[in-house]
Amino acid sequence: MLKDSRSGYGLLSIAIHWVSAILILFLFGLGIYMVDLSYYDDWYHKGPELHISLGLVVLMLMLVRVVWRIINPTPEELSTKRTQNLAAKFVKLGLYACIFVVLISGYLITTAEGQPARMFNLIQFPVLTELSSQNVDLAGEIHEYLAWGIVILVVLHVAGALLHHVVMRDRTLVRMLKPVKKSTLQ
Amino acid sequence: MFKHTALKTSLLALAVSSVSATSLTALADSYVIDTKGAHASINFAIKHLGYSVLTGRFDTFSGEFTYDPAKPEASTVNVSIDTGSVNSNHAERDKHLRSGDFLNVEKFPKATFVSTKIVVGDNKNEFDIVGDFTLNGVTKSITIDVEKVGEGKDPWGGYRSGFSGETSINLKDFNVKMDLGPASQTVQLQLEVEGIKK
Repeated sequence: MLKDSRSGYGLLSIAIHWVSAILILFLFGLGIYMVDLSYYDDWYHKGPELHISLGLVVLMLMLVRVVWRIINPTPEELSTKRTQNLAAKFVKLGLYACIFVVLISGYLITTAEGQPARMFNLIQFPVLTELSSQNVDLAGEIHEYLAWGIVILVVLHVAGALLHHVVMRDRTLVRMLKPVKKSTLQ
Repeated sequence: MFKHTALKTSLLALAVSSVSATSLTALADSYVIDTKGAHASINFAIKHLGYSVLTGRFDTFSGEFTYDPAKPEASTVNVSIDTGSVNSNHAERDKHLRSGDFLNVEKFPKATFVSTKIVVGDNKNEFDIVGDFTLNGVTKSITIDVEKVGEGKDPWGGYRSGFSGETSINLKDFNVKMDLGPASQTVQLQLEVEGIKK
Protein backbone atom coordinates (compact mmCIF):
# COMPACT_ATOMS: atom_id res chain seq x y z
CA MET A 1 0.00 0.00 0.00
CA LEU A 2 2.69 2.46 1.02
CA LYS A 3 5.43 1.26 -1.32
CA ASP A 4 5.69 1.52 -5.08
CA SER A 5 5.81 -1.55 -7.28
CA ARG A 6 6.37 -2.27 -10.98
CA SER A 7 2.67 -1.92 -11.62
CA GLY A 8 1.89 1.27 -9.76
CA TYR A 9 2.57 3.84 -7.09
CA GLY A 10 2.12 3.41 -3.35
CA LEU A 11 0.37 5.85 -1.07
CA LEU A 12 3.50 7.75 -0.08
CA SER A 13 4.53 8.51 -3.68
CA ILE A 14 1.00 9.55 -4.56
CA ALA A 15 0.70 11.79 -1.52
CA ILE A 16 4.06 13.44 -2.16
CA HIS A 17 3.20 13.89 -5.83
CA TRP A 18 -0.06 15.71 -5.23
CA VAL A 19 1.00 17.69 -2.17
CA SER A 20 4.12 18.96 -3.91
CA ALA A 21 2.14 19.67 -7.09
CA ILE A 22 -0.29 21.86 -5.16
CA LEU A 23 2.49 23.53 -3.16
CA ILE A 24 4.66 24.21 -6.21
CA LEU A 25 1.83 25.81 -8.17
CA PHE A 26 0.79 27.81 -5.11
CA LEU A 27 4.40 28.93 -4.60
CA PHE A 28 4.57 30.05 -8.21
CA GLY A 29 1.45 32.17 -7.84
CA LEU A 30 2.57 33.53 -4.50
CA GLY A 31 5.98 34.38 -5.93
CA ILE A 32 4.49 36.32 -8.82
CA TYR A 33 2.04 38.05 -6.47
CA MET A 34 4.39 38.98 -3.66
CA VAL A 35 7.13 40.69 -5.68
CA ASP A 36 4.77 43.46 -6.74
CA LEU A 37 3.22 44.17 -3.36
CA SER A 38 3.42 47.73 -2.13
CA TYR A 39 5.46 48.43 0.97
CA TYR A 40 2.39 49.02 3.11
CA ASP A 41 0.61 45.85 2.07
CA ASP A 42 -0.27 43.35 4.81
CA TRP A 43 1.44 40.64 2.81
CA TYR A 44 4.68 42.53 2.16
CA HIS A 45 6.46 40.44 4.81
CA LYS A 46 3.99 37.59 5.24
CA GLY A 47 4.17 36.69 1.54
CA PRO A 48 7.91 36.08 1.38
CA GLU A 49 7.91 34.35 4.78
CA LEU A 50 5.22 31.94 3.64
CA HIS A 51 6.98 31.49 0.30
CA ILE A 52 10.24 30.56 2.04
CA SER A 53 8.51 28.27 4.55
CA LEU A 54 6.55 26.37 1.91
CA GLY A 55 9.60 26.24 -0.33
CA LEU A 56 11.46 24.49 2.48
CA VAL A 57 8.53 22.08 2.86
CA VAL A 58 8.80 21.26 -0.84
CA LEU A 59 12.55 20.80 -0.46
CA MET A 60 11.97 18.25 2.31
CA LEU A 61 9.30 16.49 0.25
CA MET A 62 11.57 16.36 -2.78
CA LEU A 63 14.42 14.86 -0.79
CA VAL A 64 12.11 12.17 0.63
CA ARG A 65 10.75 11.61 -2.83
CA VAL A 66 14.13 11.03 -4.43
CA VAL A 67 15.19 8.63 -1.68
CA TRP A 68 11.83 6.85 -1.93
CA ARG A 69 12.18 6.60 -5.72
CA ILE A 70 15.63 5.07 -5.39
CA ILE A 71 14.71 2.45 -2.78
CA ASN A 72 11.46 1.48 -4.53
CA PRO A 73 10.90 -0.21 -7.86
CA THR A 74 9.97 2.28 -10.58
CA PRO A 75 6.52 1.60 -12.05
CA GLU A 76 6.76 0.39 -15.62
CA GLU A 77 6.22 2.68 -18.56
CA LEU A 78 2.79 2.33 -20.08
CA SER A 79 3.16 3.57 -23.61
CA THR A 80 3.96 1.09 -26.33
CA LYS A 81 5.92 3.72 -28.19
CA ARG A 82 9.51 4.19 -27.11
CA THR A 83 9.54 7.89 -28.07
CA GLN A 84 6.50 8.58 -25.90
CA ASN A 85 8.07 6.88 -22.92
CA LEU A 86 11.26 8.84 -23.55
CA ALA A 87 9.35 12.11 -23.80
CA ALA A 88 7.52 11.38 -20.55
CA LYS A 89 10.78 10.55 -18.84
CA PHE A 90 12.45 13.67 -20.22
CA VAL A 91 9.66 15.89 -18.88
CA LYS A 92 9.79 14.19 -15.47
CA LEU A 93 13.55 14.53 -15.21
CA GLY A 94 13.27 18.14 -16.37
CA LEU A 95 10.72 18.79 -13.65
CA TYR A 96 12.93 17.25 -10.99
CA ALA A 97 15.93 19.25 -12.20
CA CYS A 98 14.06 22.57 -12.42
CA ILE A 99 12.40 22.07 -9.05
CA PHE A 100 15.71 21.36 -7.36
CA VAL A 101 17.49 24.30 -8.98
CA VAL A 102 14.63 26.65 -8.07
CA LEU A 103 14.66 25.34 -4.49
CA ILE A 104 18.42 25.67 -4.17
CA SER A 105 18.55 29.17 -5.70
CA GLY A 106 15.77 30.30 -3.38
CA TYR A 107 17.55 28.80 -0.41
CA LEU A 108 20.81 30.56 -1.30
CA ILE A 109 19.11 33.95 -1.73
CA THR A 110 17.39 33.55 1.64
CA THR A 111 20.60 32.68 3.45
CA ALA A 112 22.91 35.06 1.56
CA GLU A 113 23.38 37.42 4.48
CA GLY A 114 24.32 34.63 6.87
CA GLN A 115 20.86 34.33 8.43
CA PRO A 116 19.28 30.88 8.54
CA ALA A 117 16.23 30.08 6.43
CA ARG A 118 13.15 29.68 8.61
CA MET A 119 10.32 27.23 8.06
CA PHE A 120 7.34 28.72 9.92
CA ASN A 121 9.63 29.65 12.82
CA LEU A 122 9.76 25.93 13.60
CA ILE A 123 12.91 24.78 11.92
CA GLN A 124 15.99 26.79 10.99
CA PHE A 125 17.96 25.68 7.97
CA PRO A 126 21.68 26.40 8.04
CA VAL A 127 23.59 28.87 5.91
CA LEU A 128 25.61 26.83 3.44
CA THR A 129 27.27 29.72 1.64
CA GLU A 130 26.92 33.49 1.60
CA LEU A 131 26.50 34.57 -2.01
CA SER A 132 28.00 37.80 -3.28
CA SER A 133 25.56 40.45 -4.49
CA GLN A 134 26.16 39.58 -8.17
CA ASN A 135 25.45 35.94 -7.41
CA VAL A 136 22.33 36.81 -5.44
CA ASP A 137 21.03 38.63 -8.52
CA LEU A 138 22.00 35.70 -10.73
CA ALA A 139 20.28 33.27 -8.35
CA GLY A 140 17.21 35.51 -8.48
CA GLU A 141 17.10 35.32 -12.28
CA ILE A 142 17.60 31.57 -12.28
CA HIS A 143 14.85 31.24 -9.65
CA GLU A 144 12.40 33.24 -11.73
CA TYR A 145 13.14 31.76 -15.16
CA LEU A 146 13.25 28.15 -14.01
CA ALA A 147 10.02 28.66 -12.07
CA TRP A 148 8.47 29.49 -15.43
CA GLY A 149 10.26 26.40 -16.77
CA ILE A 150 8.50 24.31 -14.12
CA VAL A 151 5.13 25.69 -15.16
CA ILE A 152 5.80 24.88 -18.82
CA LEU A 153 6.90 21.35 -17.93
CA VAL A 154 3.84 20.92 -15.70
CA VAL A 155 1.66 21.82 -18.67
CA LEU A 156 3.43 19.16 -20.77
CA HIS A 157 3.22 16.65 -17.90
CA VAL A 158 -0.53 17.24 -17.47
CA ALA A 159 -1.09 17.11 -21.22
CA GLY A 160 0.72 13.77 -21.34
CA ALA A 161 -1.32 12.40 -18.45
CA LEU A 162 -4.58 13.47 -20.10
CA LEU A 163 -3.44 12.04 -23.42
CA HIS A 164 -2.87 8.68 -21.73
CA HIS A 165 -6.19 8.83 -19.93
CA VAL A 166 -8.47 10.09 -22.70
CA VAL A 167 -6.82 9.01 -25.95
CA MET A 168 -4.80 5.91 -25.08
CA ARG A 169 -7.14 4.94 -22.28
CA ASP A 170 -4.44 3.39 -20.10
CA ARG A 171 -3.86 3.52 -16.34
CA THR A 172 -1.22 6.28 -16.30
CA LEU A 173 -3.40 8.86 -14.57
CA VAL A 174 -5.39 6.37 -12.52
CA ARG A 175 -2.31 4.83 -10.95
CA MET A 176 -1.25 8.28 -9.68
CA LEU A 177 -4.64 8.49 -7.93
CA LYS A 178 -5.17 4.95 -6.62
CA PRO A 179 -2.39 3.35 -4.62
CA VAL A 180 -1.26 -0.03 -5.88
CA LYS A 181 -2.82 -2.82 -3.76
CA LYS A 182 0.05 -4.96 -2.62
CA SER A 183 3.44 -4.81 -4.17
CA THR A 184 4.19 -8.50 -3.53
CA LEU A 185 1.20 -9.67 -5.57
CA GLN A 186 2.21 -7.92 -8.80
CA MET B 1 84.52 87.73 -4.20
CA PHE B 2 82.57 89.79 -6.66
CA LYS B 3 81.89 86.73 -8.62
CA HIS B 4 80.59 85.00 -5.55
CA THR B 5 78.14 87.81 -4.81
CA ALA B 6 76.94 87.77 -8.37
CA LEU B 7 76.24 84.10 -8.08
CA LYS B 8 74.42 84.65 -4.83
CA THR B 9 72.30 87.36 -6.40
CA SER B 10 71.41 85.32 -9.38
CA LEU B 11 70.53 82.38 -7.17
CA LEU B 12 68.32 84.64 -5.12
CA ALA B 13 66.71 85.97 -8.27
CA LEU B 14 66.13 82.47 -9.47
CA ALA B 15 64.62 81.52 -6.16
CA VAL B 16 62.33 84.56 -6.14
CA SER B 17 61.27 84.05 -9.73
CA SER B 18 60.54 80.39 -9.15
CA VAL B 19 58.49 81.22 -6.08
CA SER B 20 56.46 83.79 -7.96
CA ALA B 21 56.12 81.42 -10.88
CA THR B 22 54.70 78.84 -8.52
CA SER B 23 52.22 81.24 -7.01
CA LEU B 24 51.22 82.59 -10.41
CA THR B 25 50.50 79.19 -11.81
CA ALA B 26 49.17 78.14 -8.39
CA LEU B 27 46.78 75.50 -9.56
CA ALA B 28 44.85 73.79 -6.84
CA ASP B 29 46.32 70.48 -5.83
CA SER B 30 44.84 67.33 -7.27
CA TYR B 31 43.73 64.62 -4.93
CA VAL B 32 42.54 61.10 -5.42
CA ILE B 33 39.91 59.94 -2.97
CA ASP B 34 41.36 57.25 -0.74
CA THR B 35 38.94 54.47 -1.50
CA LYS B 36 41.84 52.03 -1.65
CA GLY B 37 42.56 52.55 2.03
CA ALA B 38 38.83 53.00 2.65
CA HIS B 39 39.21 56.42 4.22
CA ALA B 40 36.10 57.53 2.46
CA SER B 41 32.51 56.41 2.52
CA ILE B 42 29.21 57.19 0.87
CA ASN B 43 26.49 56.56 3.41
CA PHE B 44 22.77 56.93 3.20
CA ALA B 45 20.01 57.13 5.73
CA ILE B 46 16.28 56.94 5.24
CA LYS B 47 13.42 56.85 7.67
CA HIS B 48 11.73 53.51 8.07
CA LEU B 49 7.98 54.09 8.28
CA GLY B 50 8.79 57.30 10.12
CA TYR B 51 9.69 55.32 13.25
CA SER B 52 13.42 54.82 12.88
CA VAL B 53 16.33 55.45 10.57
CA LEU B 54 17.81 52.83 8.30
CA THR B 55 21.39 53.31 7.15
CA GLY B 56 23.47 51.80 4.42
CA ARG B 57 26.25 52.67 2.08
CA PHE B 58 27.79 52.18 -1.33
CA ASP B 59 30.83 49.98 -0.91
CA THR B 60 32.47 50.73 -4.24
CA PHE B 61 33.17 54.14 -5.71
CA SER B 62 36.08 56.23 -6.90
CA GLY B 63 36.76 59.90 -7.31
CA GLU B 64 39.12 62.81 -7.50
CA PHE B 65 39.08 66.40 -6.44
CA THR B 66 41.16 69.52 -6.69
CA TYR B 67 41.48 71.78 -3.72
CA ASP B 68 43.41 74.87 -2.78
CA PRO B 69 42.78 76.03 0.78
CA ALA B 70 43.41 79.61 -0.31
CA LYS B 71 40.83 79.39 -3.06
CA PRO B 72 38.26 76.77 -2.10
CA GLU B 73 35.79 78.25 -4.59
CA ALA B 74 38.04 77.01 -7.41
CA SER B 75 37.81 73.41 -6.23
CA THR B 76 36.33 70.66 -8.33
CA VAL B 77 35.14 67.19 -7.48
CA ASN B 78 34.20 64.18 -9.48
CA VAL B 79 32.88 60.91 -8.08
CA SER B 80 31.63 57.72 -9.67
CA ILE B 81 29.66 55.19 -7.64
CA ASP B 82 28.97 51.53 -8.45
CA THR B 83 25.28 51.37 -7.69
CA GLY B 84 25.49 47.58 -7.49
CA SER B 85 27.61 47.94 -4.36
CA VAL B 86 24.66 49.20 -2.34
CA ASN B 87 24.87 47.58 1.08
CA SER B 88 22.28 47.81 3.81
CA ASN B 89 23.47 44.66 5.58
CA HIS B 90 20.53 42.59 4.36
CA ALA B 91 21.00 40.46 1.24
CA GLU B 92 17.36 40.30 0.19
CA ARG B 93 16.79 44.02 0.73
CA ASP B 94 19.98 44.82 -1.19
CA LYS B 95 18.75 42.59 -4.01
CA HIS B 96 15.55 44.62 -3.99
CA LEU B 97 17.51 47.89 -3.92
CA ARG B 98 19.47 46.79 -7.00
CA SER B 99 16.29 45.87 -8.87
CA GLY B 100 14.06 47.96 -11.10
CA ASP B 101 12.03 49.00 -8.06
CA PHE B 102 14.91 51.18 -6.87
CA LEU B 103 18.30 51.63 -8.53
CA ASN B 104 18.02 49.66 -11.79
CA VAL B 105 21.61 48.56 -11.35
CA GLU B 106 21.66 46.46 -14.49
CA LYS B 107 20.62 49.41 -16.63
CA PHE B 108 22.38 52.14 -14.67
CA PRO B 109 25.45 50.59 -13.04
CA LYS B 110 27.03 53.98 -12.26
CA ALA B 111 25.92 57.02 -10.35
CA THR B 112 28.07 60.09 -10.80
CA PHE B 113 28.59 63.45 -9.24
CA VAL B 114 30.38 66.25 -11.08
CA SER B 115 30.74 69.60 -9.36
CA THR B 116 29.72 72.70 -11.24
CA LYS B 117 30.16 75.45 -8.66
CA ILE B 118 31.51 75.96 -5.16
CA VAL B 119 29.92 78.57 -2.93
CA VAL B 120 32.15 79.55 -0.02
CA GLY B 121 30.75 81.21 3.04
CA ASP B 122 32.44 83.50 5.55
CA ASN B 123 34.22 80.55 7.00
CA LYS B 124 36.54 79.21 4.34
CA ASN B 125 36.28 75.73 5.80
CA GLU B 126 32.60 75.46 5.06
CA PHE B 127 31.16 75.57 1.60
CA ASP B 128 28.42 74.32 -0.66
CA ILE B 129 29.35 72.14 -3.58
CA VAL B 130 26.81 72.41 -6.35
CA GLY B 131 26.97 69.72 -8.97
CA ASP B 132 25.19 67.35 -11.30
CA PHE B 133 24.21 64.11 -9.67
CA THR B 134 23.23 61.27 -11.96
CA LEU B 135 21.36 58.36 -10.42
CA ASN B 136 19.05 55.81 -11.98
CA GLY B 137 19.56 57.54 -15.32
CA VAL B 138 18.34 60.91 -14.05
CA THR B 139 20.65 63.92 -13.77
CA LYS B 140 19.77 66.69 -11.35
CA SER B 141 21.64 69.50 -9.74
CA ILE B 142 22.17 68.96 -6.01
CA THR B 143 23.95 70.96 -3.35
CA ILE B 144 26.23 69.27 -0.86
CA ASP B 145 26.88 71.02 2.42
CA VAL B 146 30.59 70.49 3.07
CA GLU B 147 32.77 71.02 6.04
CA LYS B 148 36.52 70.61 5.89
CA VAL B 149 37.80 68.24 8.54
CA GLY B 150 41.51 68.81 8.17
CA GLU B 151 44.61 68.52 6.04
CA GLY B 152 48.30 67.87 6.42
CA LYS B 153 51.11 65.44 5.97
CA ASP B 154 50.46 61.83 6.73
CA PRO B 155 53.07 59.72 8.55
CA TRP B 156 54.05 57.87 5.36
CA GLY B 157 55.28 60.69 3.17
CA GLY B 158 51.99 61.72 1.61
CA TYR B 159 49.67 64.66 2.03
CA ARG B 160 45.99 64.37 2.75
CA SER B 161 42.95 66.52 3.16
CA GLY B 162 39.50 65.47 4.20
CA PHE B 163 35.93 66.68 4.19
CA SER B 164 32.50 65.74 5.45
CA GLY B 165 29.49 66.43 3.31
CA GLU B 166 25.75 66.14 3.60
CA THR B 167 22.89 66.41 1.22
CA SER B 168 19.49 64.91 0.69
CA ILE B 169 17.70 63.73 -2.38
CA ASN B 170 14.12 62.98 -3.17
CA LEU B 171 13.63 59.42 -4.37
CA LYS B 172 10.89 60.46 -6.76
CA ASP B 173 13.22 63.02 -8.39
CA PHE B 174 15.43 60.16 -9.45
CA ASN B 175 12.64 58.00 -10.80
CA VAL B 176 12.70 55.49 -7.97
CA LYS B 177 9.60 53.40 -8.60
CA MET B 178 9.04 51.94 -5.16
CA ASP B 179 7.07 54.07 -2.74
CA LEU B 180 8.24 53.55 0.82
CA GLY B 181 5.58 55.76 2.34
CA PRO B 182 5.17 59.42 3.25
CA ALA B 183 7.94 59.45 5.85
CA SER B 184 10.46 57.90 3.49
CA GLN B 185 10.47 60.11 0.45
CA THR B 186 13.92 61.58 0.97
CA VAL B 187 17.28 59.98 1.53
CA GLN B 188 20.03 61.70 3.46
CA LEU B 189 23.44 61.20 1.94
CA GLN B 190 26.40 61.55 4.20
CA LEU B 191 29.83 61.64 2.64
CA GLU B 192 33.18 61.19 4.25
CA VAL B 193 36.06 61.92 1.93
CA GLU B 194 39.79 61.79 2.40
CA GLY B 195 41.99 62.68 -0.56
CA ILE B 196 45.64 61.84 -1.08
CA LYS B 197 47.54 64.49 -2.98
CA LYS B 198 48.74 63.22 -6.34
